[in-house]
Order: sequence, then structure tokens, then C-alpha cells
Amino acid sequence: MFRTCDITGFKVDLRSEKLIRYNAVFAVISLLLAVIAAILLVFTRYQPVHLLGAEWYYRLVTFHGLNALIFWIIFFEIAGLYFGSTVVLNTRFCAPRLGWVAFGLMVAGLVMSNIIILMGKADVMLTSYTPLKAHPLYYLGVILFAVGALLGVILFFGNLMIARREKAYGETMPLFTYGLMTAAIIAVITLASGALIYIPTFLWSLGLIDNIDPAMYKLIWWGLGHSSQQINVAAMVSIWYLVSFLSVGGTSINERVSRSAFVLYILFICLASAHHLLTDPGVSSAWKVWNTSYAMYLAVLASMIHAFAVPSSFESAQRRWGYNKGLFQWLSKAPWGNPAFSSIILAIIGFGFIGGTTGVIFGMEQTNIIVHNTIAIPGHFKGTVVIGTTLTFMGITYYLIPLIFRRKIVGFKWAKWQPWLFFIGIALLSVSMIVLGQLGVPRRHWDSTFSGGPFTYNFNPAVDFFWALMMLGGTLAFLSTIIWILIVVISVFFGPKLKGPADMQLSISPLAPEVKAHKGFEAPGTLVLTLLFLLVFLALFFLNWKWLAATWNVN
Amino acid sequence: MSLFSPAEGWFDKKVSRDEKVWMVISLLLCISMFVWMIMWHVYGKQNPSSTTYRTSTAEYSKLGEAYAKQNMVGVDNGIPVVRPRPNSDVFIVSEMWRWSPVLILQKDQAYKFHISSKDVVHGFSIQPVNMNFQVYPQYDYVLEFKPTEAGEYKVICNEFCGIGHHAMIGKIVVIENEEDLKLYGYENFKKEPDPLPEKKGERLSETEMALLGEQVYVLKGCGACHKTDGSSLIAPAWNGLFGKEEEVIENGSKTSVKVDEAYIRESIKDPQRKITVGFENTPMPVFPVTDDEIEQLIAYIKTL
Amino acid sequence: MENDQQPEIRKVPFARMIMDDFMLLLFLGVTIYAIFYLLWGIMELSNLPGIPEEIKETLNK
Repeated sequence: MFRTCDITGFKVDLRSEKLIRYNAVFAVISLLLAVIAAILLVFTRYQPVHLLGAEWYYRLVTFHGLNALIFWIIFFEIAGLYFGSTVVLNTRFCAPRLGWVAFGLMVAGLVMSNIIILMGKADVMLTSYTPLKAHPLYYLGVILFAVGALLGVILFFGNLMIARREKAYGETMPLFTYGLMTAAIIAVITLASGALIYIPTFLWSLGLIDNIDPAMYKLIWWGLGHSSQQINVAAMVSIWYLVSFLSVGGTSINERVSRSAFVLYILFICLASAHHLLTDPGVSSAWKVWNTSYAMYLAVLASMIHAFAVPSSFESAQRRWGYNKGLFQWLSKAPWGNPAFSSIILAIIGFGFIGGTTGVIFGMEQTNIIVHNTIAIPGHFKGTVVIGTTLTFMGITYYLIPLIFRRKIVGFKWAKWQPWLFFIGIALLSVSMIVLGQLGVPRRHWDSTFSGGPFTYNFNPAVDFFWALMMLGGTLAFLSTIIWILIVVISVFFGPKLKGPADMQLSISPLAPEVKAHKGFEAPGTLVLTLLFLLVFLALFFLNWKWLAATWNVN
Repeated sequence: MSLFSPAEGWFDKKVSRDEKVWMVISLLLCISMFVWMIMWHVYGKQNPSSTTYRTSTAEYSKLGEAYAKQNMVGVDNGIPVVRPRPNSDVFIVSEMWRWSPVLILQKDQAYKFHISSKDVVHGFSIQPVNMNFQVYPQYDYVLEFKPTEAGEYKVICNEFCGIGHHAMIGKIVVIENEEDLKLYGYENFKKEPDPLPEKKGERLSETEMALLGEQVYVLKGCGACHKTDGSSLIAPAWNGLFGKEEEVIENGSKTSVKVDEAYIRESIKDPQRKITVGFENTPMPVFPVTDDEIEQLIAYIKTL
Repeated sequence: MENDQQPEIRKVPFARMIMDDFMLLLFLGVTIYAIFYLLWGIMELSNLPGIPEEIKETLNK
């Protein structure tokens, strides 16, 4: 039932390993579907080409959203949850047969909803706001997927309970698993909200319920919609700590601080689904302000804590290895040739400077007025879920291929460059979309010349430059994703088998040497970087509030 | 350690000075941002605070139509133009796929916008000032706006609402003095809306019927899809329509009909019975139109 | 490392106990979200008035 890994020494339940592999493969399939749709969408919104007609544009926006935000991410996370609750804890999988039931449900959901979308019976966007109505099988497909995912999450907790009962990890679980536990709790909130909204909507699509109140729908839907992305934040940060450990032997410089930050996520991060309703009627300003602030920004505090704790885990370890010169030798002498390492560092930079800043600012009750439903919104979330979560998942896969799939990475030279290409591509895409949105360009919109309408409107001429930039960024991101997929697929299915530690192309670092208690600053380089981040954030903050103040008065 | 349980005493380990500094700065920033949002409600001039009323699509359609009829000073591209008095209630109607009415506003005056939808969710987006709000059916969203700069503004829709989403665009002009109206071709509009005519018992002339029909065309939103300049992206154009031989699909098979009074009556009351070839993807919803209004529309169509 | 005959009685700090108890954290996370985001929001949406008669009257003139 178990094998002992000859590289890491962990006890691996073979039944768990099989489940991890299958879920990971379907994650990659979903990403392939999502990214093919993405490049077609890029060349449609880039109107000199305007590739797709209106119908297929909206259809593929729905398709891309579902496959990228839900299927790719959640399949990968289920694989990660299984890994973190069995392999990392040296314990067994509680009920493998149920794991296969969960997998089957998720695959059935993926197939059902994708076919219905491509048949043109669900042109409703991922959000499917009522009264827009899709074919019942669309909603059923999503429900099946969500039930499967929820079952997987329950199995994660089952694994944890066995491990705790059998004292597999003492009293306190490892930090990586702790972060995944955070992700799993958020997943329960996500999927329960999903059930709450999709089941009545499914019945409505069958004609069994008369009316789904549109404001209630949107409120509850975003309990699923945004919380699903908060799962990603927790999973992503956990992997950051993991890669620090694997690449430089680093760990959080203070476990109590890092774990407290995860607890703040658990308690408050899901409240911020409210930032999707800030310019909506119905709910009061008190509700909006309390919830969009993640309870007085306590969950944002958690992110800021990780913003220091994660880089300092690298810095502290590197300094103990001897890279102590100046403020940044720990970074310049870091293992940049390790594609998992470079992916993570780039993901941290992208998520922090692009996604995190815009997320907090756009999510304030009043500044939301100047960005709601503009293309700045997808620009923001490509700065979080793509440059952050997706790049992180891509990075850790470079360790999964040898450790879980037991294959050598084919095309390792390409693997070293892929994270950089992806980062540059998505950064260009994301930033140009944010600028376009702040110039008023709408999202989910087929023609910004408004042809066929009674009037027309010309956006600020600067948009032409940023459309071109968006097109270039999107193309680069598409190509680098295809490169990653090819590396993964070829390695996993055709790559040479890994025979032992000597075959590892990415090093696994031993634990960084202990030193006596630190006097003064443990990670001064990180402090400089976080202060720089603070300056950038404040600049964007005041810029957006100034722009808001220049609009009409509204009350 | 990330993969192993933490060392004994992890809970009691002292936090290093730099991490402490950063955590204090972060906490201050977080509390400040929270207070900032609250303070902006007191001192700031842009807040999405609103009053919301429950309504139904039927009720709001009636109110929107009555408002436009009562306050119309002209027509622009098939859409009624309204010049509301400062501090009055303005009823904006969104539907697939148009915004109505067009508004003439006075700079630095406040207006109570009521915004709702007759069908699905829409996105009220004023450009270039880039203010964006969500619009629901069944909810009347009341926001008080005060335009701070004169000029021509467009209202685009930025919440996906179907295949004609990109063609959904409205207009708001903000003037400082009367001469500004010339910039938009509105100088010949009435200063005040006409008092509503008393209901006459006698039959109206063909010309009067056609004028009333044009008003129905504008108020009911037919112009959102049926154009009178020959363009037909969403629905058949109305110019040259009367008396034409049209190819339609009835019960799944193609057939040919003549566009006469009976056909127009049927197309409005039961639009799905015969669907014009080429427009199968944009089916026409049923509009609440009285028999009188249908006759007025027919008179209007005959003049095109 | 004491050489007691009886088992060690260690006092675990309250905060640490909460942090280690993942089922308690699950309960707290779900409850706080359900109350502040869902229930409060649903309550507000369910208690909206209709359009006041005075406003509707102005359109019946």
C-alpha cells in the first residue's frame, strides 16, 4: 500500500498517489481548454482582427471562465489536498473508493457543462446572472462538479482526522498542510454557497420554480464565486512556503505569525465576496463597508503578513547558508535556475504588485464606482489568479513531475525560461487591461465601437496602444502556457523514468543550518521590498481616489 | 519545516524586530483604510449609497413610459429626449438593448435617477466620466447624481445582456446655458413638455395616427431593434416594410407572407408564430401594447 | 525532561489550542461568513419597501 520515496523519505500511500495523478492530469486538460479559448478571445477584443463573431465571443467567455477559474484550479487543488493530507503526513488515504467517486463526479461535470456550452445552450457567462437562463444540463454539470469537489474536501478532512488520531504528526500539523487546511475550510464555504444557489437555479431552469430574485442570486452566487478564488490564495501561499523549503531549505521565520495569518483568512476572507455588490442596489452601505473590508481589513492584514513571512523564509535561509552580503545577495545568489523557484518568486511579485494592490483598491466601496464591470476587473484578477495562483501551480508541477509521476522533465532548458515568458505575458496583459478599464472600456463586450447602436462613443485614443499591448501580452502568455503543457504532457507520458535522487533536475535543499537567536533584523532585504510595495500601493491608492473625486457627485 | 511539524516551542518564539515593524505598519494601514471608507461617506462626494425600492418589471415599465410621455421635449434617433427639472425624479429604463430616455441635464444641479430594467441585469456605465452601476429588474435603484462638468456623455451597458449587448448605448448631455443645446442639435426642442392631449372621442386622421404611432415606436422601445434607416442587425427594418413579401419560418418550414395590417398585428401579439428568416437568433419578446397602439404603429409603418 | 512517575501535565495556551483545532476553525469560518455575509445580506434584500405612492402620483398627472 505504501512506497517510501527514495528522494524525500516520505511514506506515500500508492492509492493516494494514483488519485493525485489523475486529478492533476485533468487539471492540465482543463487548462488547455481554457487557454485555447483565451487566445481566440484576445484576438476578438483586439478589434483590428476581431476574430470571433458576437455569439461565439460570448460563448467562449463563458467557456474560458468555467475551465480556467473552476475546473483547472479545483482539479489541481484537490490533487494538492490529497498530497498534503497523506504524503506530507506519512499517513494513509481514508477512503480511496470515495476519492474515485469524487473524481468521477468532477469529470462528469466538466464534460457535461462544456458540451452544453459549446452547443450554444449556456451563453450566460460564468456568473449566469438570472434572469439569463441556461439549459438545465449546464447547471447540473456545475452541480456535479461541485459535489465531487466537496467530497474531495471532506476526504481531506477525513485524512487529517485519521492522521491526528494515529498521532502521525504530533499536535501541530506542518505549515504546508496547515495552509491547505485553510484552503479546504474556504472550499467548504465555497461549495456550500454553490449548492445553495445552483440547486434552486437548476430547478428554475426546469420550470419547477417561478422566479429567482436577481439580487438574491448575485449575493449568494458570489459566496461561491469569490470564495473559490480565496481557496486559491490559501493554496498558493502554502505552496510558496513549500517551495521555499524545497529550493533553499527555508521555512517561516515565525510559525505562530504565519499560522495566525492563515487563521485570519479562515475567519474573515470570505466576507469580501461583497466587493462584487458595491455598486448594486439593495444592500446597505454598512453591509458593504463591513464585508468588503474583510472585517476592518483583518484578512488583508493576513496577506500583508504573508507578504513578509514568505520572502523572509527565503532570505533567512539564504543568509544562514552564508549569502549575507548587503541587502540582496540572498536573492541574487538564489537558485534561479530552478524553474519552481523562479515561478514562485515571479508569482509573489506579480500577485503583490499587480493583483493585490488593485484588489484592495478596486474593492473599496467608493473607488469601485470607477471600475465596476470595466475590463480593469479581469485585468485585476489576471494579476491574482493567473500570475499568482496559476504560475505557482505551474512552478510546483516541476517538482511533481519527478516526485509524484516519477519522470524526468523533458525539455528542461525550456522549463527554465517558461516562467519568465509567462510572467511577462500576463503582466502585460493584466496591466494593459487595467489601464483600458480605467479609461472606461467595458468587460464582456464584443464591440467597443457600438456598431448597430443609435449613438456611438469614442474612447480616449490611448486605448489603441493598450489594446495592442494586451494582444502582445496575451499571445506571449498563450505560447508560454502551451510550452508548459507540452513539457508536462511529454514528460509525464513519454519522459524517461526517474530512477533515483541522481536523476533529479531540480535540487531539493537540505534544511538551512540553525543559528543562535538573531539580534536585530532577520530579513532586512525583505523589509525593504515590502516597504517598496507599500509605496507602490499608496501611490495607486491616492491615484484612484483622486480619479474618483473628479467624477460627478453621486449619493 | 513547511513539510514537517514545527519544532517544540514554536508558539512561544519571539517575533523578530523587522517582522514586528512590518506587522505594525500593516495594521495601521488596514485600520486607516477602514476608517477612510467610512469617512468618505461623511466628507466625500461620491458614494454608492442609494435608496432601493422593490418593483416589478410591469410596474416599472409603466412608470418609465409615463415619465417619458409626460416629459418628452424631442426625439433623438428614435429615443425620447427628456429635460428633467433639478431635484426631480428621473426614470431611466434599460432593456434589451437600449437605454431610455436621453437626458438634458443642467451642470451642478442634482437629479434623482431611478434606474431599473425591463428584462435582465444591465450595467449603467456613464462615459467618459466612467461611473458604473449595476441595474436589476424588480429593483428600483435611486441614486442622486450631480453632473459637475458640461458635455456630451454616453451611457454604455457593461453587464452582458444578450447578443445585442454591444449596441446598447444611450446619451446624456449636460449644459451650462441654452446655447449649449446647439452643440447637440437640440436647439429646436420644446422648452417644456407639451401638456398631454385630452382623449378625443372622434376618429383621428391618418397623419395624427402616424404621429401617435411614432410616439409608441419611441416610447415602447421598438426602435431598439427595428430601425428605420434600412439597417437590420437585430430585427427587420421598418422602412419599406409595409406591403413587402417577406420570407418567414412558421412551424419549422419556410413560407412567404405579405406584410399587411393583419400580419403586423400578429407579429406584435404573437411574435414567435412567424419568425423572419435571418433573425432566428434574436427572437422578439412579447411587449405589452394595446390594440389602439398597434393601430397607431401600423399607421406609422405605412409612412416609412 | 522530568522523571515523574505520573504523566506530564502540560498547559497548552488557549490560543494555540484553537489554532490547532481544525474542526473548530471550520465551524468558526463557516459561521462568521454565514452571519455577516449571507444572513445579513439576505435580510436586507428581503426588507425593501415598494416605490412610494407620492412618486407614482407625480406620473399620473
